[in-house]
Amino acid sequence: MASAAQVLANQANAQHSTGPKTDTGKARASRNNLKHGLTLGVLTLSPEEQKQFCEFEAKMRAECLPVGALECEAFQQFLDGVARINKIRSIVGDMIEKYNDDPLLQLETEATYRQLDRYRAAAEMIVYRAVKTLRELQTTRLFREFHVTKDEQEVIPPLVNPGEKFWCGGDMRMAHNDREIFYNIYGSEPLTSRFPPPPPGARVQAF
Amino acid sequence: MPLLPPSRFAELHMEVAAATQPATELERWFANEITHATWELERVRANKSKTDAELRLNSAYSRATRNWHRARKELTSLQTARVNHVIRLTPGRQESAKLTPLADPARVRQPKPAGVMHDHALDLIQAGILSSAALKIVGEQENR
Repeated sequence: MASAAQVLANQANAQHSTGPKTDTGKARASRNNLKHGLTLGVLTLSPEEQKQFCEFEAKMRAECLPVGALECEAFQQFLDGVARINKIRSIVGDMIEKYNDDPLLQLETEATYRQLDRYRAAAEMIVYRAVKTLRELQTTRLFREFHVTKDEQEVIPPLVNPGEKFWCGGDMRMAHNDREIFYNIYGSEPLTSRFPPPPPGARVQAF
Repeated sequence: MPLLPPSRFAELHMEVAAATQPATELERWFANEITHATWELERVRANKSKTDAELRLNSAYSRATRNWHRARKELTSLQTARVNHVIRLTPGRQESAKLTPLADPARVRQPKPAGVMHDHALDLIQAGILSSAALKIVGEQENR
């Protein structure tokens, strides 16, 4: 145990240390107590995990072909969720190895396992939501390519799929007559008047 | 209760792959999710006699079940979209649709022209005589 003099000397010496000064140093120090990194905005992967994940990303990108800022962002969110799920599985795998028993039954690991569960649920939500969004965006893109003429492309905003639901006169209408309704109601009026914001408290009728 | 052997996970992986036949990387990912959920369910079932871990097991069971169904639903939807690319699109359109591999062509149908009754109903709605709910009835009748 340190003597009182040593403690005082340590405290005096500590005054000379003002901590990391550079951005790199601060970034490194912020990870001094890093445990799994799942709460970080950007997940850190080991070089091996990084290599595997890059291969996975390349395959997925070649397959999903995201185009445009929105699809790319949804795709990136999907990748982020997958990376987190993989990380959680590797942590659970380590727990199984360490205790040589199912972490579901371990009292010591209960708090950690429960916390990991929460992270996993959040990551799964990110993945499913991102895939859903990506599919919707691509479906809209495909519809517009097949059924929306060049002139129409200029007046119908890019996120609107006239074959799906859209705001029309304060109501949410859907199905095959939508485009007819669209033109019947809005005619050749300028773009800004085609999609007026719904009035406050407007009734949404989805059928 | 001993830990389930890793070989069981490999078996499950093969069984799920045989049952779902994923053809793309994304489908494989969801099939893998089904495998993980099934594996977790098996672990819970194997340990169901452990009363001291009941709460944890129940929670794991409900989460795994939810994940299993969600992954199965997403995989079904992806495979349906993949099939729709072939059966719902002409060869020329299939080429264009290759740029949007995740799109579902079943949701990309040609808008049908509105009928006379529909136009009349629209006029009445705009005049405030009919409610917009009536449009649905008119649309259904015209679709017959």
